[in-house]
Amino acid sequence: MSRVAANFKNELSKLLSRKKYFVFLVIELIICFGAVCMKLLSSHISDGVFDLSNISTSMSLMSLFLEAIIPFISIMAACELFSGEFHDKTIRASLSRPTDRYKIFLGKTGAVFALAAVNMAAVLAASSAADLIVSGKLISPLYSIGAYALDAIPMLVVILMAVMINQFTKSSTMAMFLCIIIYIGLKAAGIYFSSLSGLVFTGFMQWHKIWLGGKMPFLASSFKALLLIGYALTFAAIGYYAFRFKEA
Amino acid sequence: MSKTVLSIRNLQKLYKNNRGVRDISLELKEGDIMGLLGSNGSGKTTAMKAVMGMCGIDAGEIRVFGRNIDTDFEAAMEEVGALIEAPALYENLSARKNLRLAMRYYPKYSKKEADAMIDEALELVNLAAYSNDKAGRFSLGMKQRLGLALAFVSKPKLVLLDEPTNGLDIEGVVHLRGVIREMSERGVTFLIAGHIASELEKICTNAAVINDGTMLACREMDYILENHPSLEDYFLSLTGAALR
Repeated sequence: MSRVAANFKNELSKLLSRKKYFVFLVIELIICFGAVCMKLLSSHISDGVFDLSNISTSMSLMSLFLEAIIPFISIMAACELFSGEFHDKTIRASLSRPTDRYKIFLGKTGAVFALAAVNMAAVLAASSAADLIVSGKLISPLYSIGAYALDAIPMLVVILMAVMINQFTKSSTMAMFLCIIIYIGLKAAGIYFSSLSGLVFTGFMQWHKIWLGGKMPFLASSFKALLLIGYALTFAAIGYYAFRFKEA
Repeated sequence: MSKTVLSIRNLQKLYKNNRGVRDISLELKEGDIMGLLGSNGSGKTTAMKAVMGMCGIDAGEIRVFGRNIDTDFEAAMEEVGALIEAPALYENLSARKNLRLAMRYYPKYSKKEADAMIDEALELVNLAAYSNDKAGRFSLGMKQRLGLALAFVSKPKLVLLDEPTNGLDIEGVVHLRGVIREMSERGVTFLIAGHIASELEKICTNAAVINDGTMLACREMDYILENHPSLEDYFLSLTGAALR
C-alpha cells in the first residue's frame, strides 16, 4: 500500500510542477467570478426583468466545466503521465524502482483523478464564494455539493478511457488528439442519435440528474449505474493489460 | 563462497525486426564488476532492460538475489539501481526533487534518512552545488551524473549501468571508476554494458562478450589479459571481425 501511495504522491508532484495546471485553475476561477458578474449585470440592465439571483452559479456552469474544461484538463494530464512518459522515457524512473506495474498504473490514474477532483472542488468553491460575495447568499449549497460529488464518477470513466487510449500510442500528441476526437465523437453521437444517448458514458456526465431529485425508476437508474461500472471496468482492464506489457 | 546476486538463464527477447537477445546466460557473484561488451545493436541494452522488467521476455529466467523477477518483482528489485541508456530525468524538477521522487519508493527509510542519502548521492557525483537547479538546465555530462546519482541513491547492492561514461569528461570518467571500485570493495555488484573495450578493461573484474544477441564468452578479466593483449583483441578474436 505504501508504494501505491508513493506512486500517487510522485505522479501528483509531477503534475503540480507544471504551471499550466495552475493557469487552468485560475481561468476556471475567473470564469466563475465572471459568470456571477454577468448575472448581476443582466439583472441590472434589464431592470430586474431577468432576475437570475436565485440560480446557483455552480450549477449553471456545471455543463461547461464538467463536460468540457475539466475532461480536457484530465485528458491532458493522462497523456502527460502515460504516453508522454513513454515517449521521453521518463517512465523508466518509475519502472526501475521496486514497485509493481499495477501500483504505478494506480498511482498515475489516481493522480489524474485527484487533479480532476481538485478542479471540480475549486470550481464549486469559487462559484459558491462568488454567489455569496456578489448576491449575499448561497443557493442550494448541499444540492451543489452532492451534484459535484456524484459527477466525479463519470469523470473517472472519462479518465479511464483516456488512460486506455494512451496505452496504444507512444506519442502524447497523438494520444491527446485521439482522446479528444473520441470524446467529442461520443458526445456528438449521444446528441444526434437519441437511442445512443442512454448507452454512451459521455451522456452521463451530469450523473447527479439521475440520482438527485430525479423521477427515474430505481431499476432504470441501477441499469445506468451498472452500465457506467461496466465501462469503467472495461477501460481499466484493457488499459492496465496494455500498460503491463508496454515496453519502456 | 560469495553468493549469486544476478542469474540470467537462456534469456531470449526478440523484437519484430528479429534483433534483440537470442541466448544469454550470466551469473554475477557479490562484488563482481561484470562488463557486458558488444557492438551497437548486439543486445546489451535489451538484456539490461529485461533484468529491470522494462520489457517482457520470450524465454529464459532472471533471478535477482535468488528471486524470480517474474513472480517476485518488488522484492527482487529492492536493492537494485540502474541507469539504462539516457538518464530518466524530469527536466522541470530540480536534481534534489528528482532524487526525492526516487526515494519515495523506499518506505523503509525515514524522510531524514532519505534526505541524508540524497545529499550523499549528490556529493558522490559532484552535483551538490547544483542540487536545486532544474535538471533541464544541466549539460549532458551533468545529466549523466544525475542519472548515476539516481542509480546510487538507494544504496543498492546490484547496479546496472548502460554505457555510464556517456557524456562524462575525463575527470568524470576517472572519478566514476573510483566510485565503482570503492563500492565494489564494499560488496556492491555491477553489470556494466559498453562498446568501448578499453573502458571496460580498466574497471571490470569479468567480461562477457555478446554478439548478435548471443553470448560468446564470459571470463575473468585477469584470464583475458593473460591470454590476449587487450580486451579489444579478445573481443575481435571472438567475433571474427579482426581488423585487416
